Amino acid sequence: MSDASGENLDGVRSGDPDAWRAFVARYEDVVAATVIGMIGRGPEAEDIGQEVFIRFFRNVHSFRGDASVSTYLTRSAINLSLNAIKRRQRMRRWFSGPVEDVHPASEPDPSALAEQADLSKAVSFAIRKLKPDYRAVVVLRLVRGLSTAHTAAALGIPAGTVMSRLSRAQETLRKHLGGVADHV
Amino acid sequence: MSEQTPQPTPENSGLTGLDLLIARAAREGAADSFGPYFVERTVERMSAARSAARGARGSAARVWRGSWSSPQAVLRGLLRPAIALAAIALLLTVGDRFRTRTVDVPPGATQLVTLPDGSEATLTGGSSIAWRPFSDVRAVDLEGEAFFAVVSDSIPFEVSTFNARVVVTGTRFNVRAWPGALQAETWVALEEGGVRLEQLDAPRQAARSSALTLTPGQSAVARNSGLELAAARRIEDDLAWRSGGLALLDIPLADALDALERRFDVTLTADAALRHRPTSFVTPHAMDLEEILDAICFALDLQYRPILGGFHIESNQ
Repeated sequence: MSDASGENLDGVRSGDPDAWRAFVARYEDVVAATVIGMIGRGPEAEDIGQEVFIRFFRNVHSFRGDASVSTYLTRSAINLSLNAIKRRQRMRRWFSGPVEDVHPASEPDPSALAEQADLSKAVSFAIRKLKPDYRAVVVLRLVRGLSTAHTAAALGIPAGTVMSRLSRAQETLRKHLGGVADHV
Repeated sequence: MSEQTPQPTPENSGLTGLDLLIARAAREGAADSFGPYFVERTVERMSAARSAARGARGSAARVWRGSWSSPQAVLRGLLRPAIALAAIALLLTVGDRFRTRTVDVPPGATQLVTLPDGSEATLTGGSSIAWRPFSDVRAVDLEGEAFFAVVSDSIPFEVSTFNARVVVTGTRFNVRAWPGALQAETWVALEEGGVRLEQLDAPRQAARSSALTLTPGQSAVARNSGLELAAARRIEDDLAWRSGGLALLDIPLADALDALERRFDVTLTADAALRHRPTSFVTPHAMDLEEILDAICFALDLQYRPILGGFHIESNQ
């Protein structure tokens, strides 16, 4: 049986490990770009990536194909990443007082990296300093390159909200990366 | 709705100036992979979860599909395989009850292991975890370092190391215990829930009475001299490895080099006279081996030089 995007899910549904392998290999980039864009690299990101696929495998029998597989996985990756961010924030709140920035103080300052013209890295750090809701929009629109409609579908919010969050996020990114234009 | 056509690129998205630069850089910096073993590990984890679910359902639901032609054939067809299957099932059940399962993680890797009850342990390179089928206690043996996310259950979950036991019912915590280290200790850091740390060589009753109970955010250590809460320790340091970081806190240089060997899968040696030098190094994010060696050698006034398959650390003459 195929879903709306033409994906053949019979092998995955039947539990064929080769079909799982092919499925994970096919969609790893979608999930990796989303999760790593949201929380950065590391074992926790890989853990979440695996969980995204495992949840899909567990629910594949009830997957009706209303959304594409890619949108379904993206939504799941965003939700699990947001949970991880909340967990980190909670932990920091317990042990370090009120949280304004969920990242360690010793993490490189984006504007300092930008001044060294290490732009991709600077942008990654700056994105991870955004509020989680804004970060999700930026990761899907700018990092993944999804359209406004697809971003809205993956996040379950109206297209107008995507645009307003993106606009505010860009404003914040511009502030963080202020000196970048002079160095690139 | 398909995402395949047409996707916007930074160039056709209408962005200009700094916004366009940011969009381009974001796209360039996008990750497209979790690493070389992601696919296999995910499939392995899925298979383990599936096997656990099957085990829980039992084998009663299996159906033997044969061709039936007569009552005799039915008897022959049913009885012989049934007896054979029963014998095999008995052997497997008895054998399984005593079979210890072990997972060893090679240096330079991390691995997520799903335990029979659905609890998960993420192990660092060089670590090893072993367990027997869970019954009245969910018990695992750990050598090395792992982060546990334990499924809540009335049956206690126990992690035993070479000198300590951690007892929980459902929680998230980190355990580090390298029995071969110069400074051999068991460190426990609790993120969520509650755990009890007991000295392993004491009788159960005595161990319980001298046990330490941790609350979220606390760390504790089991040494030969006893148990101790580490009030000044930051849990972020103990969990730094989960986000690619590293925390070596006041440990002998030899133990620090062992940790780096496990992390980077290289050979690191040091002059014998330096092995006990107290070493500290903390980074919340991933760094290259040579960046770390630079920092450690600078702090201790040492130097390092390349050798076959790694580096040797020596005094800064």
